[in-house]
Amino acid sequence: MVASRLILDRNGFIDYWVDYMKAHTDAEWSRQQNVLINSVLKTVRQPSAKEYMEMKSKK
Amino acid sequence: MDFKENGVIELERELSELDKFVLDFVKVLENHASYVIISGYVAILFGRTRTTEDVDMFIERLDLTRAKQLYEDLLLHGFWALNASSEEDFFSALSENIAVRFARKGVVIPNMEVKFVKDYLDKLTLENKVKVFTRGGIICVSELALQIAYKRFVLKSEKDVEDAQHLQKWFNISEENVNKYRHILKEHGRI
Repeated sequence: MVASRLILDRNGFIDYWVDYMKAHTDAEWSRQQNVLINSVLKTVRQPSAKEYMEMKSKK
Repeated sequence: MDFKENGVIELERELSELDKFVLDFVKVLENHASYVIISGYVAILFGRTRTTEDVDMFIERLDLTRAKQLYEDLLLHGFWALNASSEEDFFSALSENIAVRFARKGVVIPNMEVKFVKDYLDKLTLENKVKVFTRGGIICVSELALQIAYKRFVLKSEKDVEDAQHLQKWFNISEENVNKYRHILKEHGRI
């Protein structure tokens, strides 16, 4: 029940966000999106290449 | 965003650090090989509210000489290969259809996951790529209906289905168009 509600909420957010994008310029929506992308990239833990490749091979 | 003729999109987005990484990489790559970016980054470029640690792409098949030139040029421009320590390693992995990952020197994330095209569907993706004109240069991505079909019917993870939902709504792509690619994916054993 909780899981299905969560999926509904996520789907609803995707529709909401695309509607927002359609109503705003590329520069406006991307500025907001970039806050998320840039902060994740800035704070990501950098594993060693070996560690990373091992992690990827397990997926 | 503006659609032009012949598979061209003009996108006036502000560039993220991920976009800048991709643009820096493809500016070197495009001097050596044709390429197409697939999967998650395509949805992110077009506004999906998530990020990714790796950007998947196909490149045309190269012989050893051209592969060496590409590898050397990437190193010269500040990239390194996470899983190939020489030009020969790079060529050998790609020839065996193993992806080689490149990141900026000193880091691992984000990285570009580079593969040779290996079959009809990969070639179809490469041949039907869409050119996206951004403020920082051109990025070639997979045809969108094909990308949506692949995410919905082949990959099928929650993340992929959401990426597909985002792209389909943003570009107003019809079910008929997506189903056309669903049939092609089925014909070629991906579904």
